[in-house]
Amino acid sequence: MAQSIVSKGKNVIDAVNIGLGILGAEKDDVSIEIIQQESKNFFRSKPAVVKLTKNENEKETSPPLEEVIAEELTSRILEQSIEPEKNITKEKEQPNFLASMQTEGKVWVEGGQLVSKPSPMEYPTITVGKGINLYRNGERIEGSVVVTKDVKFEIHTEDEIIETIWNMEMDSQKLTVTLHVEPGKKISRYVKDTKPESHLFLEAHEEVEWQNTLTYEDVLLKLESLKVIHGFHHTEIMKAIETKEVGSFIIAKGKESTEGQNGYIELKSDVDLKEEGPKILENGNVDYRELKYIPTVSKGQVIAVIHPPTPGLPGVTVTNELLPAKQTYPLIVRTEKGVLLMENDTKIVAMKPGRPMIEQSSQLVKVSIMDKMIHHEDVDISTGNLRFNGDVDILGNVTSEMKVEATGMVTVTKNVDMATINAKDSIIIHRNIIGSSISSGKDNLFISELLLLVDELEQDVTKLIQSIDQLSKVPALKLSDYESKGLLPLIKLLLEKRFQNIPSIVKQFKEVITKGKGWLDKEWEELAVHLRDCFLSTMPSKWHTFEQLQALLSIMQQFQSNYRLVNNEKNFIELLYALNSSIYCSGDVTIFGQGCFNTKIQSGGNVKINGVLRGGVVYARLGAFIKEAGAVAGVSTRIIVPADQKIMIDLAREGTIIQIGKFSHAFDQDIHHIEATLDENGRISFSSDFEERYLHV
Amino acid sequence: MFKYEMMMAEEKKVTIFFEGDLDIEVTEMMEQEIIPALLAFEKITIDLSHVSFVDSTGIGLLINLIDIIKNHDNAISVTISNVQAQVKAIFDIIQLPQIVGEKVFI
Repeated sequence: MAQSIVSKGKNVIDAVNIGLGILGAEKDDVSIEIIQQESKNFFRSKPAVVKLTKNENEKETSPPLEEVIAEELTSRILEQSIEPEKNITKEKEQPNFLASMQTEGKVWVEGGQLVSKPSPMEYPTITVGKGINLYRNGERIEGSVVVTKDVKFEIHTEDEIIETIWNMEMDSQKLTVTLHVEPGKKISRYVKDTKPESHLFLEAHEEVEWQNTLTYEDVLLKLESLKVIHGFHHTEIMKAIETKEVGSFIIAKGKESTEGQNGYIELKSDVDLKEEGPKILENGNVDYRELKYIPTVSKGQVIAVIHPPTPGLPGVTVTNELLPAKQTYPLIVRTEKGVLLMENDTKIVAMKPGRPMIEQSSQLVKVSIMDKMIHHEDVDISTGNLRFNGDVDILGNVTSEMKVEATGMVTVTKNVDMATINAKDSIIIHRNIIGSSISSGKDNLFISELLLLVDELEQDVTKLIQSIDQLSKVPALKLSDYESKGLLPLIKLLLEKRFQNIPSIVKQFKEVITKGKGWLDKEWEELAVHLRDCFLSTMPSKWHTFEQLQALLSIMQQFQSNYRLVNNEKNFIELLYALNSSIYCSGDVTIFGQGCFNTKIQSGGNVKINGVLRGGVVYARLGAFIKEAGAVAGVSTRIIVPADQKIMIDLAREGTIIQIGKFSHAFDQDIHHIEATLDENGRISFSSDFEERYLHV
Repeated sequence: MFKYEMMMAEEKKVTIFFEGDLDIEVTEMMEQEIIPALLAFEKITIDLSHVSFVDSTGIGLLINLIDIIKNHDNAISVTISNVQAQVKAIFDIIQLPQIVGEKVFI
């Protein structure tokens, strides 16, 4: 076996010599094989590697040991030539992560532990973040810390458990039970491994796991404590105990009560006057044939049907209690003057022909049939005054300071000259009024007067009763005379000075009753008798007890409410022309003809003048619409409306004064097309948008 | 029970003491005894210090008493004194001072 050896050296010659030395041979004894030439570059130098093989004719007694050693050497040399020399290398060659990274002067987390490699030139730092407890040599550190050698750092994380929060609410009506749930959570914290850093921000990673600890038993127990036994929404309860989010759940619901309907009246015949106005013909005359349609019923005709109230349905609370519905009320019907309530109080039937009158105030309705009186001639001195409980048709003139009074409508086919017309309902005058007073919508004058007295009396008697009550509470007052004389002596004492007004009011009351005899319902006369017996008598009467005094007060209050019933705004007055007169109406006033001269008009509705308004005052609660307005020398013309209404004048002549609310404006020249209102600043402003149709009455 | 006692300080001057309840029962006594007796004097004081209870008739009697005396001779001076508090309350409610004259009460 030929001996061979691989040797290494600075260069080939060096390598050969080293090899020859090991073999113990001369150059001529070996054959040389160059395996690697030496090389040198910036980073490393490679040695030369040669293989020397001893020629075969030489000794063969190379010891096997040498061979082995030589073999070992060979492989070691080969290895060494592949590995880089550490002190020279400056960049990573290996793909291995940790080995290739520089870790000097850095700190990192590995396997949940803090590992650091502070270097003499560089000390890494750690800043403790949320959820981590950092210990240095067993001592808790917060904020930032420098990592030095020979220091033991420990990281601890804490888990957190947040409890489920819940509450149950029942509304005040006991109709809904709401369950609010905020499920709890389990927060697991741990530290993730990090890269080596010079400045390590130590933070815990959180894993949140929702934990809703609310149980079905909890919910049931609480429901029981609230006494909830009805209307469960089982699915909602399940949702609530399983929810992973904050939520509110309606877990029980009762039933609301349903509203009923009050009793009401259903009109079966046309009771309202229609709105068509009379036509103005080409020649200027007014055609009244198609006047407002005045309804009439015949005997036996059903005027209206009364519907009873429908009660509401009660509801149920979650505690299984009845939730009553709002009370419904029947309609109270008062019939009079030829009207009957039939068929178990459901049908209102006319017992005589005439004009039906229905007056309603909340749940109280009054139905009557207006009688009609037709007067075929003039109303003058020969006929005397006219008073009628119903409608009055006068087919002539009213003159000579006569008075016509009606509880219904008054129609005059000719003129009213120096006379007075007073109707509770509307008034239609086909021609003119001169020097007259026309009033529509005021209660007949007696009732108005009586009501004023009742108002005063009601107040005083209320206070009287209070004083008596006050006195009865004073221990020093005995009621020893009560048995024989009742409250009379006490009332007398109080009427002596404290309530000295009462007797005089009662006397006035009696006087009006006497004057209005035949004109007033009997109930007024009865009231007068009661009042006399109570307050003017020297003998004890049935009124002289505590209870009866209260009852008397109630009677007065009843009168007050009954007689306030009239729906006055539907009233109207229509006439052709007015001169030197006064017109009062609770509703609209319309003047069709030439106009209005030196006349005062007071209207609770609007005022329309199709002609000229000259001299006088017009007050219109719902606005004024005038064709021409102007002043006459010496006599002013004033038109007044409330602050929220308007005045429209087609031609306003110099001297006309308009007043809206508190603000006036006088026209100092003739102006066309006035539409005046108050603007936002409360000043009179004129709009140019004038609509002539307003004047086409 | 009702009693009265008259005490003359001087001639023509008298103080009459009422004692007990001034009520309807006193009517007869008032009309037949008290009023006639008092008319003889020029200055009368009605002392109510011992009157704890009145009824409306009794107050009426008092008013009546003063009225009759004044009608008899307006120059006669009538005063009411020492009214108990509770009784005064009643008098005030019915405005008795205004009825008989405020000067009457001393």
